[in-house]
Amino acid sequence: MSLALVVEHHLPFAPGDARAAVAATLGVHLPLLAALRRLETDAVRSPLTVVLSPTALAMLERERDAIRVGVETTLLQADAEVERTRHDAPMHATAVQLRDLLDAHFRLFETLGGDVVAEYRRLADLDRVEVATTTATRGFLPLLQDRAALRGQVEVAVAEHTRHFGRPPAGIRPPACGYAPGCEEVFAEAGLRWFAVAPHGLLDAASPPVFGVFAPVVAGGVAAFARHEGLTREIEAAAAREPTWRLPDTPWRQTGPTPHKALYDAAAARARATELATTLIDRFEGHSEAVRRHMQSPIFLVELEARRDEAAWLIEDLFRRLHARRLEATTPAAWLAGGRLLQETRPAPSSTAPGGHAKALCTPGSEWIVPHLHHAADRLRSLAREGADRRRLAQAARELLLAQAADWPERLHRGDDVDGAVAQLRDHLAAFHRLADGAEESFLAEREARWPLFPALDPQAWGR
Amino acid sequence: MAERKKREKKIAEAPVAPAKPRARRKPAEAPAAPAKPRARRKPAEAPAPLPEAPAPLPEAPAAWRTPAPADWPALPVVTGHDHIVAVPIDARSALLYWELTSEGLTRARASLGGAEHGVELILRLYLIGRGDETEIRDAPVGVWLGHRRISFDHDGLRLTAAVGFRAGDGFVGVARSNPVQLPHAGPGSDPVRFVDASGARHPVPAGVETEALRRLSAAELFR
Repeated sequence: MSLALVVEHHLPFAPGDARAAVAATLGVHLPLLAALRRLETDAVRSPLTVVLSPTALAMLERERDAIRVGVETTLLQADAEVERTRHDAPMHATAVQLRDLLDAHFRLFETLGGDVVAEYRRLADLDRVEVATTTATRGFLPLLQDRAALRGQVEVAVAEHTRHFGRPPAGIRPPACGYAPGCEEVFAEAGLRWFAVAPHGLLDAASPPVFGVFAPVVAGGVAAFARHEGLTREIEAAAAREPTWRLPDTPWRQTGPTPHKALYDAAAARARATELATTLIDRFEGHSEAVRRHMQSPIFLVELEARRDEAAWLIEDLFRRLHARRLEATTPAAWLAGGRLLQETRPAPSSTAPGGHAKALCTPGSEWIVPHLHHAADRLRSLAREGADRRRLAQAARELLLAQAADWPERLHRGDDVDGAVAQLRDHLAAFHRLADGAEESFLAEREARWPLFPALDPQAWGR
Repeated sequence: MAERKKREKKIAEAPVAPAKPRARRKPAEAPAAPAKPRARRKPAEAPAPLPEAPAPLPEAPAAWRTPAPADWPALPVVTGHDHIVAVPIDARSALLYWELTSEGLTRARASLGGAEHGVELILRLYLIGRGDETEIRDAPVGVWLGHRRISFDHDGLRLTAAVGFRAGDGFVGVARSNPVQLPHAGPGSDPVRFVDASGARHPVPAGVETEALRRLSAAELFR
């Protein structure tokens, strides 16, 4: 029996605005990389699957200087907070703890030369992590429909991943695990060996899934893994409600909807992460025993959100518990290398988005986007087949990819700066059409400078 | 303290992007719900073929050229050819969007044989359920460019949509959609097959039970 832990990280591409990249570096990457380095030092295996979106990689690469400034500024603010709370002993103690955490992250950041992607590459080269990809700009595949549009999102993601890591990814976790029939063929064409689907994608597959979610199925030559919903939700619940964990960006604990706030205590949060890891591994062993009555080598895929120090501690402690109990931790690619017999079938259309399908990404407030995306993809395919100017086509493809991001309908659905999201989306679509109409050189140069994404982009992915 | 001063100096010299305020507002307002399509049950039949276009024909009357909805962003959405596209949204709903040209409308109208009264531009849905019986549903649309979300009572339908003119019992389509299969609850009935890493087929391994693990997985899913 094997446990595969998967974490995902995405950042929208926003050149010139490094705030999200700074927050991600401090909240996601440095805590996670610190945990992975501690495990490496202690010779504990840590086969974590890290899904890094191509736009997140682009932001971490492009905004490196701004991220450094942001990290230093945050540390300076933490220093100032320590000074400010000097006469409030409890608040001061928390401020010191938070400053020390940040200081440790800053030292790691300096050790890495500010290049967190290079550290993931080093760990991947040592087979200590598997780095997987998602679609190029987090395009939600079931709504793109057109084969050329799917190919564009997937092949550009694979090319970008290869540029960063020196080898293509083995697997892809599409946004919200969105799957529609035909996706597997695009994944196979791109050389991928596995993809992630929603649990009901396997359970409602074209033929009854003999192993449930405890083994992948093969569709079009690519293995489809589904997460274990029970363990995944348990970790989600802990992250959302664990009262010793920190309310993000505050010195307070997550005490829930009560006026009685309590100050964060890093030592208590660390201890609780260890307890939670023990509980989760106990539960994993219990589930495994039940499953092993019916099959020999089940795999439990568990997704975690690594958005804070506590999540990184939990991941570290999960690997330590697995190691101590001699239980197997694995990644999807490593598990497949075992050469097991797998059931061949086609998953059902599905996603892990609310409602289980495309409803949350195609609401009455955002459904108007869909025809625009289809028309533009159709147009790009025609232009690529006609052999239009490659540079112009490449920028048009960038604009289309940016317009296809699921971030826009999600923001419309949440009511998060709706006008800004619509304006940005319209800007990309309008630029796409202007480039497709053969816009003047100055406009092309301006868009290339403003949206310098995916330098290795090959627009022929749309023309085949 | 010296380290802090060093940091302060470094930051003071570095360019910092100005912070933009992040506006929040309520979700985009939904448009009014579309009229519920009228259901008519007919015996199983294949969708009628679209008529061949007789040419040349006069331009469609200006009255048919309904302007695009006011909330439609000012983007070049008109492609200049007749089409309707179906997109599955979930097990019981689909999004349809269409565009009709004046030429397409004129040709279809001419195919009705000059009928003037009771002619209506409609969406016609051909729905095939698990029993392979085709149900036909009509919904008036009235506009040459638009989108509509359609809901169904059952999951897992196969759907094809056409948009065109209805006159009495007659229907002349202007465009027909791609067929789509809406998701269904529960697994399909395809035979169970196994493959190895090379893709070679194998019989179902001995001792494998087909239901136990699916039930166990589902219990975890919905607990």
